[in-house]
Amino acid sequence: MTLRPGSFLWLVRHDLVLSSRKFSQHFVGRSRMMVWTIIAFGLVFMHGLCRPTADLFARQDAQTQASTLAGAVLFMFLWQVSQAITRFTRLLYSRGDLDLLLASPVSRRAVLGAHAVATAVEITLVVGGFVFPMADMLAWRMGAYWLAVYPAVVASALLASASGFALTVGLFNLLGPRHTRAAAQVAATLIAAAMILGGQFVYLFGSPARPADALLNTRPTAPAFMDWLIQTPMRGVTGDLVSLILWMALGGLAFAWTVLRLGPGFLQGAILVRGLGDGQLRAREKAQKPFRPGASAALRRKELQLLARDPWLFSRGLLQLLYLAPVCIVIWISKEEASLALLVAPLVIMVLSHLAGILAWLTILSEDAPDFITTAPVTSREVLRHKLEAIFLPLGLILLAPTLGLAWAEPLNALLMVLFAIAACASAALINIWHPAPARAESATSRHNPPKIVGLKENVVAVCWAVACVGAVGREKYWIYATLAGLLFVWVNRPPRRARA
Amino acid sequence: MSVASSPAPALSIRGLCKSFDGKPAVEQLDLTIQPGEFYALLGPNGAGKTTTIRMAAGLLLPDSGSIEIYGVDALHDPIAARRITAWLPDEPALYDKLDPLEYLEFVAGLWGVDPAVAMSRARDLMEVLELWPHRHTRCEGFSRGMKQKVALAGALIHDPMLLLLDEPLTGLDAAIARQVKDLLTLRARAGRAIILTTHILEVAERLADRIGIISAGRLCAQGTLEELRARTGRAGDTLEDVFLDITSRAPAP
Repeated sequence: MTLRPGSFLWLVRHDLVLSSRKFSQHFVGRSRMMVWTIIAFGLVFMHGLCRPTADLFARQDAQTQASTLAGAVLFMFLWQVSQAITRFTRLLYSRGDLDLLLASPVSRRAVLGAHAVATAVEITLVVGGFVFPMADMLAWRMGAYWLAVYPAVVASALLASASGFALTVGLFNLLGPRHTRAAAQVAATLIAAAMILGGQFVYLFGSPARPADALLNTRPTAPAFMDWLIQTPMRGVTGDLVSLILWMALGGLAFAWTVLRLGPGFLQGAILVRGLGDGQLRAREKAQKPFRPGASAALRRKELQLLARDPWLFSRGLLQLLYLAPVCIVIWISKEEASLALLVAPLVIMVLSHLAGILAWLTILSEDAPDFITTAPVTSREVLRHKLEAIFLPLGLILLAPTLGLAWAEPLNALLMVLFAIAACASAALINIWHPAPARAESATSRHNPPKIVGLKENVVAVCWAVACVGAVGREKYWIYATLAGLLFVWVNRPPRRARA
Repeated sequence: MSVASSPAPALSIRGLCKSFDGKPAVEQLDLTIQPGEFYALLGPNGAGKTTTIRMAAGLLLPDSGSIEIYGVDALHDPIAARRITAWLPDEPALYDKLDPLEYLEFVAGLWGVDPAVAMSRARDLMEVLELWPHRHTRCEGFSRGMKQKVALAGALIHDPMLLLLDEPLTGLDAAIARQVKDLLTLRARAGRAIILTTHILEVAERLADRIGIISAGRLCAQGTLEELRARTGRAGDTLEDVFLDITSRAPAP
């Protein structure tokens, strides 16, 4: 089909083509046949993974099914909202494509609308990649009506895009161009984590004797209509046609209204952000400090300044903390007369290991000006050493507080925690250094997208060290096996001899 | 004997060769630049200008040949060579999350400049380049020209004896380009050697003491503008005419 250049659908296609090109960057160097094979394998794998879950779901009683479904729908929606905030904030601040379109004679409203539609499509596909295989398996196991999940995910994506768009514009109006990016990043993190935290909260404290249950049982009863409205998405997902149409209409209307109503404000914001470089917005005056001497100090200071100013780093650390805290609470309360170290140590090790990996990636492999550093009168070994110092300084500071707290109650366990945390951090940093895949400095997106395979390896080795620490704290022999597994994993991942030379 | 009083040439390149995937980018290049000299290296796209500059800056290792900077063998003692050299690429290499003052402090620290001297130089350079009002604004919001000015200030803050400039005027407006040209001329008069590549022939014509024309990785001609005119036998021609005449007669790659 030939689309008229500059038309709304033409713009939507343009955005989707760009998104597909970004996605295809993950498969650089592979043939088309190989890419389709990988995608097909991924789909088969996901369906295989969802099959037992669908069986389990089908065996549950109706009430459990309803509450599981409600949780899943809410989780999907919050995940989509988080994705939408991230994408709209990126659009607001990134330079390039939008600049060209805003400067063109094409209607700005059409440009923004097309981008919003493309965002909703992207969100549908990202979330759908996980949800659709489950819907297929449920349809196979329980009936074709579960295929209603497909349009339901689209409706949810429209509503989530509207919510994400409104939140981004709201944050921009509230905080201004200087702080919105960081705030939106944190908001997206918190929203994505909210459902998991809520689920963990109910799981942990949900027995009749626990306060959360009492809290949930004392909630005011919703009026019948509201109750009916709230349950619309759940009924829509399970194939109720009226509910599905209602939900899709609601999503579509909310999406159209938000983009049309708040679009001009968003565009004003985008233009304001683009004007930052023209001196329309002045930086705050700072006290003039004298320069400080030394190449070593300069390298460390530069890395620490860049890390401290990276909102992505903050949100990733926060997300890790939020996800892991409930797991540690589970470990803690599952043991009678449990040691405090069982709560603190695995959490600290996992978070620090993850942070070490991120910091190594950001400081060593995502250096903004590698050529410039090469021309400086310092050796590459010195540069690496000071970068590592810059990585381990904040990690040490983060480790200090829980160590002091734990040392007060359980000094030996505090020492064990420190040793295993150091091992975990060193392992994560080494895996990053040994598997360099430098990001393009000019691309914030690639800068903040470490290779997934390296992230997976970091997680494996971090789990080894966390398990080893839990074992050591519990004086159980398996800590030796976990330690050996961690060491073996790091050893296996060392670079080939030729690369090291 | 200090580098400043060394009788050695500021840059001496002998028999420099570099190939990429078997395709020669620079072939048997010989180049000598004296202290205080402003040398413009011209050539069509892909002629080997940037490759030459990057090898002199220590960013690329040559396949063969030698590079000496004020008598220091840049291939065997790269740290000593870098200490007296500055390199400015056409795409400014900055840190978006640092402001210009922080960037200059970082560069001065790397080159071991005394903090008080560096602070004073930073202020002078930023005032000349009209960056002082933006000293606390992070570079991420700067236009390309602004970024280029910050990078230039960074290249000059350690007062290098040899400046390697790769298309330094790209993206600068006329007024700032004029300031930069004046700044570079002053540096050359103060005894610093400058080698610059540019496609703006007027810059080379006006500023350079000597001009080298490179094509297909080989130095086709070099000398003052008058010497180049004499070589083509067309007195009174502009540098553009001379350049086109010489490059059209150069062997194809």
